[in-house]
Amino acid sequence: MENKSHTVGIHRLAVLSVSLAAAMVLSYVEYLVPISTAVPGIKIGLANLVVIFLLYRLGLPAAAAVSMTRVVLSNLLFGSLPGMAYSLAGAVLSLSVMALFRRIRFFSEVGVSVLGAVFHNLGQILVACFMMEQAAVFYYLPVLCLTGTVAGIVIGILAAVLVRKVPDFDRTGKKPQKAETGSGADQTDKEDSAI
Amino acid sequence: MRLFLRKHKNDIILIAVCLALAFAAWGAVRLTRKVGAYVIISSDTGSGQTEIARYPLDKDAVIPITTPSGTNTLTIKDGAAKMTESDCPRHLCENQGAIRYSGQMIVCLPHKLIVCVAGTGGADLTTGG
Repeated sequence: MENKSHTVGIHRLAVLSVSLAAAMVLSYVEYLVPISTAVPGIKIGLANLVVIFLLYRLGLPAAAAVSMTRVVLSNLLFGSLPGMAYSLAGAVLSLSVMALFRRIRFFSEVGVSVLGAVFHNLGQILVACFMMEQAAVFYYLPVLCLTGTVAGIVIGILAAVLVRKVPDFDRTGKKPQKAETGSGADQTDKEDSAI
Repeated sequence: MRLFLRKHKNDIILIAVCLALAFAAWGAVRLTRKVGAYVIISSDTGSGQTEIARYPLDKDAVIPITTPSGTNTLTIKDGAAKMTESDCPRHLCENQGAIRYSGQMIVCLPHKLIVCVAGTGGADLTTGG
């Protein structure tokens, strides 16, 4: 702990590891409890909670690292290889859009989350269209747009709470606040800490 | 409440737009859909998705489908096709319901199997693409 530059790295590594673990657990929960099997692709996107949280607290590189690792690992563990193409496309498109709108600050976490969810579904539909060579998969667009919006609202509200309430861990040279209370860590508009 | 509305004005507009788009697209799909004439069963047999069979929708039938990855049973009844059995791990295809409109499809991803409705109107097997 005496070397400051090391402390940054270790902090970051620890936070990213815990985030990845949390995202994996959320993916697994979602895999265990499917919302609807009638239309493929309907889900809450619980893991996006972690991604949005990281996007707001640690910035795009951290969010991207955890998101991509999460997609690859969860598809290897309880998904399928074709499924990975869908997930990756959804994750990349979703994260890009979320990062863009997080930057221009036009929406709060809720709006960013809704956009992320809708674009995640759009990315999956595009891949399905490409892989099956059938434009008819756009048949699923309306229902996925609807469910994506609803899921995005739920995840966005939860993420907003997390971003505000989780104690400050991403600043160095500052004693971490007492865990669980979280009241002192109410700094929402802090800048992203660069690596 | 007022503060909440002002703070989340952009979010609320966005959500409204998304919902409106979803319903507009749903309406567009619903208005333009047509009852299909037959189902095309296609599977990836090593060289991309290729058609393996087609059946008219106006004739009730129980169709066993064998792909390299497993077997499915497609049942055509009252002008609609439904996957009634599959030995894939999660049986998602069995939950996708019955399809009868042109463009609708049932996908069994583990078996790389797609059943899709094509053609319009009656049992016109000859002219359909």
